[in-house]
Amino acid sequence: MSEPILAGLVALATPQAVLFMCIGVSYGLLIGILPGLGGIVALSLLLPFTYGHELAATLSLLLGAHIATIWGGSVTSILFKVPGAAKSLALVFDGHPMAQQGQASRALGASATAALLGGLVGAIFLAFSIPIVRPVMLALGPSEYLMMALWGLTIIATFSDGSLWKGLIATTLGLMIAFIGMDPVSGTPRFWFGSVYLLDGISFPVAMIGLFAVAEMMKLYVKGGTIADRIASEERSSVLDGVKDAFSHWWLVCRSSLLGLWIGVLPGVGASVGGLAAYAQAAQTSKTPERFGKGAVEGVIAPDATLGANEGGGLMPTLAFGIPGGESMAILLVAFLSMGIVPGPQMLIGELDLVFSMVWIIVIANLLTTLVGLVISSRLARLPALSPNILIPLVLSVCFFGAFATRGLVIDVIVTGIFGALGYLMAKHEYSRANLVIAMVLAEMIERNLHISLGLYGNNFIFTRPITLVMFIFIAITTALPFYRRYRTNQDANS
Amino acid sequence: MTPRIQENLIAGALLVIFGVFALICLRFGPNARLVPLPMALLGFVLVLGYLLTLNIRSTATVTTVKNETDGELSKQSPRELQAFAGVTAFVVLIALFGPVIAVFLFSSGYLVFSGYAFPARSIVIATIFTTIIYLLFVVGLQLQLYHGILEPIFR
Repeated sequence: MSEPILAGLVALATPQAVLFMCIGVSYGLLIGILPGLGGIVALSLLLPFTYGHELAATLSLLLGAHIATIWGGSVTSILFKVPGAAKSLALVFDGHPMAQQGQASRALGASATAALLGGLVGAIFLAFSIPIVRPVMLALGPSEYLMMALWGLTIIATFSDGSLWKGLIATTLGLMIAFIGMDPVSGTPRFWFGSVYLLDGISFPVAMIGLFAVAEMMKLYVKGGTIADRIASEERSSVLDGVKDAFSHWWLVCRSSLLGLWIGVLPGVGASVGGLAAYAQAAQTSKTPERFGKGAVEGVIAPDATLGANEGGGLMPTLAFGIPGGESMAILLVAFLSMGIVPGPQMLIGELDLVFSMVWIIVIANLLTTLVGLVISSRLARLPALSPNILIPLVLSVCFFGAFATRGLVIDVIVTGIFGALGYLMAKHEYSRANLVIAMVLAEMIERNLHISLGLYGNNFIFTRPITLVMFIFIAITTALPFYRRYRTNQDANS
Repeated sequence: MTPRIQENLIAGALLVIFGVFALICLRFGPNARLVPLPMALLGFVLVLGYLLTLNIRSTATVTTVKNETDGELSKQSPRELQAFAGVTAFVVLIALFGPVIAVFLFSSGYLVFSGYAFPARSIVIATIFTTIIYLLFVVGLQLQLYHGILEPIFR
């Protein structure tokens, strides 16, 4: 076993591999920080550059960029309330309040360290757990994936801090927006109003740029002042505080990493669910859940540890079975095939060196990203205190350019503007934008798996599939828990 | 306009949206409407319930005035209109001239309008913005540019 581990590392010790790793990580950080351009865009743009180089170097470029985009997305979520990608959404809830309270350095430090720790857990898991996880993966069917998606939706019970009515209305609106376009099962065009553009559905990155980034800039203009409540010179926290936070919450890091691994292993579930689920479990298991949403560092640590670990988990089904764990993994799979790597069970026997090279790349890329992240965090933390007169045109320009870049369509820019206005109105009238986005992410997964489950297992599939039933009961309990806690709090207040 | 009226107007608009969605769903086949129809009806019922809570119950609280971050957005209608106008103007500029020229025009215009810089300085700052964004997206990411509806006129 130790021979392929060592051989995997030696393959990365060439000048080209080292150079490509550095380029990949720098490029990934840059792309991650640009709103809407997450790992999928980063990998897609790298695909033409994967030919004619050393295999290990090309893998370093691709995986290094992919790992770095994750933390890049966390940065904008924390500093500007602008998720770099859907998976970074959960960082907005507590990371941004921390930045507003002058604790941006601490939040960024905690975020980078948690991502590193999660990434290391993910890499170790990838190296050693393939024989254990395989039967579990094969035991899950569409009805279990449906339950996973429903679990994501029930997280709303945790997020609906204000009016429950408005939280639920926003969720339903998000689902309806997601239903625009072709029905994934029958191919029926729905809510397209004769527009060919709407047949493809609303692009998720475009909607998110509008709902969060454009709306935040509108809010900033209306209220005046800077994003941070304190000016940069009054920043009271340091990056080291965040690093200490991540280590002191080691049990939360472990739990969140394991959750990220599990979500990553499940094909098609995606990291968006993972980040939100990690946030929810952190809030639900906290002794002081009322701090969440107001700048609790645990709300930053949990999603980032999950996202870090998710990559190791996501590579597992991609390499072992050729089933991508998410969209980014699907692009990686395409890149592997173009490089002559054929994923599948045989790869784990015949090309173990290559598998361990990938494990090492994940470890090194995580270390490099965190190192760079910790060095630049204190400078990045000053960005929210920039004059809005500079920040607003710059961020809006990047947002609209980013929206245009997603598909090269000018109509995406118009849709971004519309979602910007919608996001502003929702923020003003306290309709949860997070609920709307969560529902948009999960709608297709729910619909597709519901149809398949009904077709495969019949109308009573919840009761005929034991794992589904257990998951259903788990969802019922986790949904009821916040309501029970609220009830207990009210009872205590009354007594 | 009082917060209660604003809330009613928004809820009314949502009621119409969910109602229209539900009616459209009826035209789909059983598979295509399996999830959207119940969701549209659920949305309709939720908005109706919210409207009833808002208007019938004497204890109903209108939360509009208190914003999630600063609680002052609802009192800023002139700046609010300017914000909507600014975003609309940017989108229109992109459609007319393409993103690169639009970024330059919007940035320089914004800097002058906000009183942050004199026209000459605004043009310098806007040029720097545009160059950075051009290098990032067009040179770095090799984005195929759109040149705007007015491109044929300038050719």
